[in-house]
Amino acid sequence: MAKTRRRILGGFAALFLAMLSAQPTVAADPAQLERGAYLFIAADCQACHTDVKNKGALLAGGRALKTPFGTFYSPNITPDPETGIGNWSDEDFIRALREGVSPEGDYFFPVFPYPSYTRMTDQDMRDLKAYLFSLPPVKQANKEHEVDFPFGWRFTLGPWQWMNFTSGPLPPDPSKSETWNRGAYLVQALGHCGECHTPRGWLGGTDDDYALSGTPDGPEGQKVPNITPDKETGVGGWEKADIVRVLRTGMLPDGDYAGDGMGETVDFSTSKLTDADRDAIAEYLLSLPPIENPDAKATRPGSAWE
Amino acid sequence: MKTRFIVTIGLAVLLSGGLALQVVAQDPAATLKKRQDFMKEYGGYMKAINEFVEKGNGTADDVKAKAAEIKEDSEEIPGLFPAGTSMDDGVGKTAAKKEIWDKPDDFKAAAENVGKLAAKLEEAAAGGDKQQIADAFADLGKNGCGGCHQTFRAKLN
Repeated sequence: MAKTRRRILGGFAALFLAMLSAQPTVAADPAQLERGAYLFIAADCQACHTDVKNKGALLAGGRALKTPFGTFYSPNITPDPETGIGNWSDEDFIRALREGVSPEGDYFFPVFPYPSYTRMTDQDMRDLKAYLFSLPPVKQANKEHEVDFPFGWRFTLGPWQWMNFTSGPLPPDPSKSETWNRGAYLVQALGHCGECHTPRGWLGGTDDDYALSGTPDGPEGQKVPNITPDKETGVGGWEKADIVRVLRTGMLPDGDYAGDGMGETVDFSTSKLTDADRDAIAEYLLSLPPIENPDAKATRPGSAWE
Repeated sequence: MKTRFIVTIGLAVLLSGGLALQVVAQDPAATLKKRQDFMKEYGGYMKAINEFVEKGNGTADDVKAKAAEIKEDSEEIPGLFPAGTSMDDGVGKTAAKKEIWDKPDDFKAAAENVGKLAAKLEEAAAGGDKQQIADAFADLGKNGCGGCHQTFRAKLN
């Protein structure tokens, strides 16, 4: 009698456990995973969250990102519950991307491009998380950032946010075409192009009056070119096809190939987008107000390069 | 006896001096110009092949000839970067990152990869199939040229 009861109890326990472990698979249907996989490419999570140079595991973090404020090491975003983000709920994930705050309530350093990701829709964030959680967990502890005094004080990031950051999804512009709106979303939210192509003020916030006009002081000391359609210093002399081509293959209008950060971006992200999305990005960029920036010129078609 | 000794030492010094000069760039300005002209020529080839791939200008034979040039010239790439000619050496305007000399084996492999991918394009062009040519060309550009630039070249201008 006792034995039977125990067996029944055991059965219930097993069923309960099975239900628990089945939960993630129930939440992620194949269509959602497919959408998430594409968002993962468009948002280029891989480039920063994988230490490619040292052959690190996918999304296990540890890549060094040198900035004027110090060296940051990207964290593990695999679904490992101990060292990754395996314990995060959907709400935790959305809060991280939308508000730049961790589940423990700590502010993230804006080296994590949440000021761009905040413009994503809730649905896209959920799909992206579902995809990340479908990938193999990797146990790898995060490396401490090496941040210069006093930028390492996380509590200063609250006021920083107040001064430099507007939270919330990108509102569609009904006066513009669907393609244009898609381009705006890809450039401003997912692709986070401005994180490199927009100059930053002395506090490290992007100077949005000069959005996408390039900077000589980009990440890792790189020069990042002006991608507004200014004729002299930007991409104003480029055909739409030239922009599509550099995104698809990395080839610049003079036969040169993008390297450094953009080479990486082409490799991991833009070369894997759909043609329609690359078209949308080009259409959006060429529609922007041209900004002159002689300190960060884009390649001029027909010019010899150095 | 002593004279012979002095002559031998003198010769050794001369020889080693000559060798050292060979390893370090003799004239950095000339070196920079030489490799920039080389890369411009590469850019020209790629642009011309792209004209065929995108617009059908020229023939598959032209593509084959240019791919062969790229393949053969790729062997010269490591030699175009003698020590002391990085962007940090103050020898003139160059985008050559110091990683070229920090990771010489990786750099050599990247140059060899250009040759390998160009050989594949040459083969595709010989076959004449447009899609195969387009794929091999994209591969050469993104992974050959772009692959090397990603690690070893900075953005200038």
